[in-house]
Order: sequence, then C-alpha cells, then structure tokens
Amino acid sequence: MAENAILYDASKCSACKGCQVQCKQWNMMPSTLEKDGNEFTGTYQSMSDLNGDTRLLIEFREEDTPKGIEWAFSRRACFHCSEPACMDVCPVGAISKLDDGTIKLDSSVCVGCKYCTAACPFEIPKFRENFGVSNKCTLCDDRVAQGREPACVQTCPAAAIVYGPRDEMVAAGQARVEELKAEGYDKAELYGVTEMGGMHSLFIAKYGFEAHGLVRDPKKLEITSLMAILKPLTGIGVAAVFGGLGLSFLTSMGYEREGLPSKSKKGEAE
Amino acid sequence: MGSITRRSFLKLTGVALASSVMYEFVGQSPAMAAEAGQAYKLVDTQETTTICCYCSGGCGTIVSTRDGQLINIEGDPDHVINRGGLCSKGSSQFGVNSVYDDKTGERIINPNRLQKPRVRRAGKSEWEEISWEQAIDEIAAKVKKTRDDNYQTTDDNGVTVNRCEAIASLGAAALDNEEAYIVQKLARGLGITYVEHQARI
Amino acid sequence: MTNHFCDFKNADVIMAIGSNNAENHPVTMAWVQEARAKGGKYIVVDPRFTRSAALADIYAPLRSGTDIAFFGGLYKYIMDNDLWQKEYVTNYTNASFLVNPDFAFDGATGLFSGWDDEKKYGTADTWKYQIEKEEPWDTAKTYAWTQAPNVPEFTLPVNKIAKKDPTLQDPNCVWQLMKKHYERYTPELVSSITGCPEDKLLEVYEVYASTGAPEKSGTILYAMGQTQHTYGSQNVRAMAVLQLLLGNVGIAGGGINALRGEANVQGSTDMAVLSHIIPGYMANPTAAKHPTLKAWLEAETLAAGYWANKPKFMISLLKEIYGPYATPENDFAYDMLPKLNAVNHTAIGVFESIAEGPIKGMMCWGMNPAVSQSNSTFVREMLGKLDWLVAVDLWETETMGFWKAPGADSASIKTEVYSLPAACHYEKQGTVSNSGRWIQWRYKAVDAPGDALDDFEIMHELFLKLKEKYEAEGGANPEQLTKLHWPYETDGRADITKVAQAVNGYTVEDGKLVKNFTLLKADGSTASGCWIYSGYYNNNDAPSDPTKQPAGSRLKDDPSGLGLYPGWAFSWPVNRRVVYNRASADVNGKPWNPDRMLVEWDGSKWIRNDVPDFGFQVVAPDGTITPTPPGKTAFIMNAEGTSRLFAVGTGMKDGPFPEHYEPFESPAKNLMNGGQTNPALTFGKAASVKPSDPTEFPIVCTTYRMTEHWQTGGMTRNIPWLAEAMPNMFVEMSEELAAEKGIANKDKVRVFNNRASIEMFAMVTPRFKPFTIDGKTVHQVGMPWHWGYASGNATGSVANDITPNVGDANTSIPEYKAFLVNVEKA
Repeated sequence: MAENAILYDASKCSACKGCQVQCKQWNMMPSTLEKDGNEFTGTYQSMSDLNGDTRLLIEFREEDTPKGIEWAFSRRACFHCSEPACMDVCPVGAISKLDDGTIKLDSSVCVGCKYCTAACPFEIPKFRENFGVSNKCTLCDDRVAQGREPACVQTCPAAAIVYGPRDEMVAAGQARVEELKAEGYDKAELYGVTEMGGMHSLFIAKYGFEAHGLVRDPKKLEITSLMAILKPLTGIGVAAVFGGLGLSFLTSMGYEREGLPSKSKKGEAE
Repeated sequence: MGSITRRSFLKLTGVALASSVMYEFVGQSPAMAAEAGQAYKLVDTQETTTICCYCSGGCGTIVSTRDGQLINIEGDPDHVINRGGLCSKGSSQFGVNSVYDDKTGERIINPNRLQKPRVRRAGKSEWEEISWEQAIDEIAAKVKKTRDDNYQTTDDNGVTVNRCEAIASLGAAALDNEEAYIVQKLARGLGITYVEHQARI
Repeated sequence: MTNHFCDFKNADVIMAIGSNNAENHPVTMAWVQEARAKGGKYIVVDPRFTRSAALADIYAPLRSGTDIAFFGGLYKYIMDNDLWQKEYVTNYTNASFLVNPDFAFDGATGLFSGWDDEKKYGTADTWKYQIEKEEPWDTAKTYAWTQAPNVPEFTLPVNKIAKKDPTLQDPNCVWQLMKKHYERYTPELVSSITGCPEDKLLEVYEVYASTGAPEKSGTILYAMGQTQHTYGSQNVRAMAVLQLLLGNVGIAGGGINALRGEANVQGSTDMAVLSHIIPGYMANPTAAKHPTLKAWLEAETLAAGYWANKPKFMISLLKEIYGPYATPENDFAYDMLPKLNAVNHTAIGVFESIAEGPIKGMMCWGMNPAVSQSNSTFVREMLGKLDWLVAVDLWETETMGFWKAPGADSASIKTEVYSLPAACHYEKQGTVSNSGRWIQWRYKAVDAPGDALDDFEIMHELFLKLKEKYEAEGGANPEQLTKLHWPYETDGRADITKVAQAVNGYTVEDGKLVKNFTLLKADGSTASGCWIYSGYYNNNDAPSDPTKQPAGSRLKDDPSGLGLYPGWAFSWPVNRRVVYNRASADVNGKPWNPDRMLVEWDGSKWIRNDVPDFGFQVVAPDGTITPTPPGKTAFIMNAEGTSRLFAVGTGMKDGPFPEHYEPFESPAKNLMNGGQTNPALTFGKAASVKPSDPTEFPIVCTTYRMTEHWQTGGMTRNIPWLAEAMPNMFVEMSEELAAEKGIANKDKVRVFNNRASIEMFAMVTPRFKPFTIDGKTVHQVGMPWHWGYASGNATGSVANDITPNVGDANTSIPEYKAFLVNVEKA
C-alpha cells in the first residue's frame, strides 16, 4: 500500500481552528463542561498545549520584523514518523504502524503508562485523565479506510490541509516552498521530508521551522532504544516491573524541546 | 382553522416529515469498519442536509443521525460554496444539540439548552417552569392588554395610523426566512411599529 | 452582495476593508486563494493586523473611522492619473448629468448646501439634476396596467429627464463637481488623517486602481467595519462610487460585497424585520407621507425603471397579508398597516423609547440586546423598566437574565420575564439567504430537546391564542389581527412550506404559485409576501416538497466556469447571480472581458451566462420572442437608468458625496473640513450617550468578532468546544501602550469611559501599533464583543457596555467601531 501523508500549508492557513474542532467532533472528544474552566494563553491560541482530549491544536506565534509582522500559525498534532519513538517504547503494543504509514494508538489496548509521551521528541501523545489512556491523532484511519479524507482535511475551509500519496505531498510541498520564496518568504521550508525517518504529516513553514515552533533536526532520546529492547516483556505488569526504569526514563528528559508552546515565551510581554 | 383544544403542544417527530427531509442512506456495511470493536461511525446513518447557522457564507452541512439520534455533523462535500469545509464554528454545530461528557465520554444533550418554558415573576430572583399552554396564554393576555391600553387609531392630524407604540418586537437574523416573514407579519398585525432586529446593528 | 462567494475567484484584486474575512467568513478564503493562485492580489486594510492581514499580499493600517478619507484619496489618485474606466463612467453612471448650479459644499463648515439646524438636510433642494424635459406615462402601452380594473387610482408619475453633458466638461456636471470635491484629498492629508503611511497608501492605491482597466476586475469585501459608524452609509456609498469609477460593478470578479454577519441577516432584511421598510424593500407607511394608499403609491412609485412596477408588489403584499379581507373597496386593507410617526424607531430608538415612556413590553426572538446593543448598561437598565419581556432562544441569554446581571437588584426589578425554549437550525426546516443572496433550504434532522419548539410554531400558537382572545373579548381594532390571512397549517399543524408558498406568491383565484414577480399584478389578483423572493418556491407540481423547489435545488453544473452555479439553490432576484450585469458589457453589448462573459449581444440576440438584469427580449402574447438590442440602461432600479456618483435627491441624509468627518468620539481634529463630526448623525444629544472626551479618554477603541465565537456568544460560549477554543474576554493593545501603562500580557485590566468600566485580560501584541495622526501618537485598542455573564461555559465582560449609542445619519446603526476609552491595570 502506498504511503499517505497530510500536507499542511501554514501560508494558506487562516488559523480558523476548524480542524481543531472538527477533530474533536469526529473523534468524539469532549472539552471541559466546567464554567470558566479554560486558561487564557495571552494569545489567540486556545490552550498552551495538546491535552488528553485534544489531538490537534492550532498554535500562534508572532514576531515583529523589519519586513512586518510575522504571525506564524502552526498545526500541532502527531507527525506520524517513519521511525516512531512512541511505538518503540509502548510496552503493550498499543501503538502500531499501518501500511500507509499512519501511526495508530489503540486506546482499547493502551494501559496509560505514558511512556509514549516521554519518548516522543515532540511530546505529542497526551494522557486522558478520565479514561486512563494516552491519546493522539490517528489520521482518522477509520475515515481513510472508507476512502474518505481525515476530518481535519475535509473541514479546512481554505484547503490549507490536504491529504494524499506521500510522494505527491512531498512534491507539492516543495513546489509551494519555492513559490513562497519567489514571493519573498525566503525562510520558507518544508518540514517532515526526512525528519524522524520521514513524516506522514508534512508542514510548509512559511517563516522557517523555528518561527513555527518546529524542532529542527529532531532525534529520538537515547533511552528510547533501551526501552525498545525491553519491549518483548509486554503486558500490564511491565509498568510495575520496570516502574523504576520508567520513572528514570520520564525524568531523564534533559532534552530541550525548543519551540514547544508550553515552553515558548511568544506572546509574553518583555 | 381548528380550535385550540386539539392543540397538544406535543412536538412533531422529525421522521414523520419524511417527505420534507432529504435522506440519503449511507450504505457501508459494518464489515467495512476499520477496526474490530470500533465500527465506522456513519454506518447505518441517515444524512440530512442543512446550512450552517453562523456567518452568512451559507456553507452546506450534513447531519448524520441514527434512530433520530445525532451522530455526526460535518461539511457537505457536494456543496459548491464550501466543498466540505467548515471553520471552527461550523465544525461545532453538533454542539448546539449535543456535547460529549468530559467525565464519561457519553453524548448528552447540551446541558445549556433550554428545554422548558419558564417565567420569572416580578421581583423574584429565580425562574419557575410553566407549561406551554400557560406561557402562551399569559403572554397573549399581556400583549393584548398592553396593546388595548395603548392603541392609537388616528393621530393628531386625523390620519388613520392603527398603531401600538407600547410593544417592541426584536429579532431575528437567526430565524429562517419564512419565520422572519411571520415575525414581522404578526408584529405589524398587532400594530407594532418598533419592529427591529440584528440588521440594524 | 452584488456578487456572491464563488465569484471572488474571478477577481484580479480583492480588497478587504472593514471586513476581517478570513476570521469572520473563513469560507471566503478558499475563493480568495483561488484568485491568488491565478495571480490575483489580496489587500487587507484594517486598524489591526488580523488573521486576514496575515494572509494578505498587502496590509495597510488605517485608524478606525477614517475610511472616507482613504477612499476620497483613492478617487483623487484615480482621477489625477486618468485610471478611471471612461466608457463605463460616461455611459453607466450619472457623471455627465448636470446638477442644480446652487449645489455647493462649504469646506469651512463641512456642510453641503441646504443645511438647517432643525431639519438637518431634510429640506435641501439643490441636490438635484437640471431637467431637460418631462415625459408623462404612456398609459396606452407600457403603463396600460395602471388602467386595468381594480388597480387603485393614483396620480401617475412624470419622468423627468436630466440635462447631460457627455463631454463631462460642464462645470455643473457630476464629474466636474466630483473632481472639485476630492481635490482636497491629497495623499499627505489622507495619510495624516488615517495614520496609514503615505508609501503604503500609494501602494494600495496603485494596485487597486489597476482594476480600472476595462478587462480587469476588482472586488471589495466589507462588513460592519464600514457600516457601524455615524457615517456608515456614506462609507458604503464611498465603496460603490470607487467601484463605479473603476467599472467594477456588474462584472464577474467585481462588485460591492457585504459579508453579512449572520446566517440569515440577508433574508431577515429582505423580509423587512425593520421599522422603516415592509418586505421587498418598500417603505413602511408613515402618517406624514403615506396617510392613504393613494399617497403611498404616489410617493413611492418611481417614474421610470423597474420600481415603476412598485404598485404591483405593494398590492400583492397587501393581498398576502390580509387575503380575502383586502379588497379594492377598502384599498386592499392598507389602513390596517401601522403608520409611523416621526420618532426614530430603530434599535437605538427602541431603548430611548423605553426611557421616554411608550414601550412597556418587548418580544425578543433570538436576539440579545443586553449584549449586542451599544451602551448595553443603559439597555439593561431600560429592560428593567418594562412591564414584561418575552425572550425566545436556545439558551439563557443575558437579555433573558438581565435581572440577575452582576450588580442588578432583582427584588427591585418588576419586569415579568418569559423564557421560551426554541429549536436550532437542524431541529426545524425553512430557508436561509446567504450574503450572496442564495436562498437555500435547511431540513430537519433531529427533534429539539425537551419541550423546545421552533420559532414558527411559537409564533403560530401565539397568533391563534391572540385571535381567540380578540374574537372572544374584543379590544382595540381587533380586525387588524383577526383578519390577518393565516393559511399556514396542514392537518392542523403549523406548516412552514405554506409560508414559503405565500412568500413566493400565487394567483388568488386558484392558489397556483407564480413563476416569478414579473407576473404579479396591481389589481389584487395575485398575492406575494416578498416580491424579490418570487421564484424561489414556485413548483406547483410539489408545493409541499422543498426538495423539488428552486430553493432546494442542488445541481452542480457551472457551464460558464465562472462559479455561477445557476442550478444550485435560488438567488434573488429571478436567480440572478451578479446584479447590474448589463454593465459587464460595453454599450454595444460586448463584454469588457470575454473570459468573464455574463451577457453578450451577438448582433441579433443576447447570449446569457447569467440572468440578464435588463430588458433583453420582449415576449409577445403569442409567444414570439423579439430580442432587445443593447441600450445604456445598466441600472434599472434607478429612474435615470444609471448608477450614481452623485446621490441625487435626499436619498442620503448627509450629503450627495461622501465626506470625511471624525467619529463622534475622536482624539483628532477634523483636518479635511471645518465640521468635526457628521452633522446629521442620530442620537448625538441623547442623555444616555455620555460622551467621552479625548483629554480624559485619549485612546481609540474598536470592537470586533472572532472566528471562534459568534455575536453575543449565546450560541458559542454554550458549546464547550468553542468555549475552549477562545475562552476569555480580552483587550488587544500595542507593546508601546502597555509599556506606558505598566501592563504586561495576561494582566487583568480595566477599560473604561463615561459609560462604564469593564474588566478583562490584556493581550499585548506587536500586531497593534500606535498611529501617527496629525503628527501626534494616537493609541488604539480593540476587543471582541462575544462575552457576557450568562453561559454555562464561558463568561466575561460585555464590551458594549462602553460603546456609544449614537447612530449613522441614514440608518441609525450604532457606532461600535471608533470611540474613546482609557485603560489601566486592574
């Protein structure tokens, strides 16, 4: 089966958050019912990061430059890496790679150990407190299996998110980057072609990776491979047996994930 | 026109209006579901087209239901204006009727929806629920008294004016065209001159 | 909109000014991007750097409320550089018409000729054409219908033909007057007034004026950024004049496109849920001008053009309203229509009239003035003076619960309030009209929860109960209500398709739906609730089946490739997709741009991609068709047959040319003329307004909407997904102002003026920049108005607590976009 990919074009995105809400709608993800129970981020961004009930988040970063305001929008969700660290470390085999390259997290198998969150260089999988499992984008594999586009793709009013064979998406992304450069956006670049072995969610970064909060040259944490070796010992017990190791794993993250919104200072007053 | 007594205020059920509803049966069989135990959401659903209730783009929307229960709402890919797209508001149309409980994950009717007629009596600090019959009767009585007490048949110049300046009717751009026609017809039929709505703001 | 959404793809240049289309009409961006993909340019002019600005080819900042200065400067640029569409302007506008030589504008006072302190411009008599000749109606031929039996008698109008100078040289011709008027609008002065840097201004001018080339198209997207000012109507006129200068009206990819704010605000306007009109844009009778049907017909029937048919539409409307009770003998029940007095009955006026006394009761159908109306603290105070209030909605709104607003003492509020639960759009059925005038049917998918009913059912029950009471008890003029024609039931149930049939219109004798409004008559033999909708629901084969009606049509064919989609839904009038489309072709009927052909005269007949907006053929009683060769009448709704660079008569209450004035509350002196504010603005002297002075409140504030919420937030703050998407009320301000005030991002701040003080989060951002106005720094802040105190999910301050309840001179739409405040850390 040919590999498929999402191509997100930040230069066409109007940050309307249609994808963010339609993702929740299709995947039946709640938002808090509590009155005034949401944070104020100081920007147009809904919350500081993804959470257990939010698989896709539109992020906002802004920079005052001599060329004018660079308001960089980003679609933050699973990149569906070809070399997925989350899958390496999952002790129960809840994370799998589908033929088309989609990295799927099966919540009916997940035991909620949170290793995937810790291993992911982008901290994408999040824990659903009320359900005791991890959660992340599945590229709407249920829709794709029916020959339909992922929910975020279909709902994008400006066609800033498209989906198709990965090689075509890479070519389209590269062509668009060249167009943007010709228009004067000289820092434009395409994310996901080679990162983490190649991603199945590509990102046209209008103002360059850093401006959009993308980790340049991301790497698996070294401890990820150790966890992967221990993986044959699957089952619920694994978390208990290797609890100590797991804890050290979780705390070993010295890796500074620059640009992640929870650590970003964008939007803060100087 | 029939007498009021046969009016039960019982609501019509949607499926009884089959001739006026565009149904398209989605034919996928459960066997095609992507994953065992997690059937494709739209199997055995009925599709009804509508138009988004927010901005004036007129975006086509498909409402999927099963046994009269709301299952899914997304953009209509056949619609020539939005071609399947919906922004964040449009994508949230499901939430006007139903929400997912953040504790249980279950679909429930949006708890903020009003479901009963209520009245707040003068000086009181709480609502009280009343029946539709009582609400309509009391409102009609108030409209009639205010109108009758303040009605002007002619003005100072002797011109027939047939107006009631003591009632205002506001709204609404959220109504359908036919309702908008009726809201102003009813108001003007009472002699109301203060007929206004969101187009003025 | 003159055009429609899919048409934006045909534009060479798109200018969003007074519209934040990417945020508030996200669907537009797909079509804007299609235009851009073909080399089109997207310009965004806005006081703040919005999500639209982030996607624009050119962004130009503009201080709120200075659009007319901006447009006036653009006119001057176009005229000075000879960039206007000459054949178009000469033939399709009133540029060549001669105006009364006494017409004048006085720069020292900022007044046009005819001003009277008492009557404003009400008696101005110089804004008129010089008359060449007078032509009475030909009652033997064109106007033979006026002589038919049962057509009410009225003195027929006389068509006054204006003097013209096709060379445009006469000093009193509109063209010369216009050149003279905008001589003052130099780039330097416009820049100084608007705060838009001169180089940026000229960049926008150059790109937009390029659409004056006959084959080029430019479109304007606007919204409440233009209308919500004390000169909002002149802002809209200013855009129309610009588009006429460049030959951009009536063409594919052109037009003046209002992106309206609500799903059906176009339709509810068409249906005249407004004090000054009755359905189909006809004048609501006033006691002074229209005491009788005869007087109405004489005052409102235009002497030429399509509005000469107005009596047909009026009598058909009366027949719909009163049915068999409306007879030739009783002037079709005309007397039953309530007649207005001289009091301003617009939304601001409603609350002034509660203060003044007459209004005792109020019905709110899905409307929430406690948040949406300007000076909303005053609004809530007035709600407490009502005897009763009925509010119909899906949610508990701030209006419904005004008696428990923060600071309200419910024990002292005597208003009896009824809260009635309504159905949402997919819990009922009916049509909505989008901004592009497309009427589309919405079907019912699920039942409304609990005991909620749809609004029509509620209105229907209320009508029946009132009728029952009036028939049983009598009362004031009972017939006004009891004789209303109300055939809207099927099998004892309210049936909305019956209303659709009534709105479309039918022949009275057999009840058959009329094909369109050309078949309506002035003799009482036809009925139609809204003539411009005639044709949207006209299939007699299946009157109860909306899927078989034009409004339910879903054919995706687009033979022209222009995105006209003639088989998708129904576009009023008569399924025309681009109005004024005669102007898409030259005087000989050749399209200015063959690739964007809407209509074309091939030498013997008209080839049509769109429904022609002009008389293109005559069909004889025997069915013989005779094509009508090209004429110059491109604007058939005006008696003179042309569009108007100069607003003749007193159709505009504040001047025939748009002129720059400062907002009602402004930090700046008017540099363009000696009048500070629009002299004809409304409610400026109302005690409730409490003007805020620039010495105490030097900061300009504006209000707006965002993608994630809608209007007062009733619909969206009650949906958890959207409450999460944009949870909190905030004020956006520049880093410079924040530094001056010691405010950090995310701080709680107070924004205040003489009307109120409200608290919210600060959002400090480089997207806001101070303006340099007349050499001085002027700060501007902005805030969304989606919050209020009543919601299950997200609450916040009501922005309109601080907006002024002053109105536009023509419409009395309130000033929401430019007023004065101060800001401090809370």
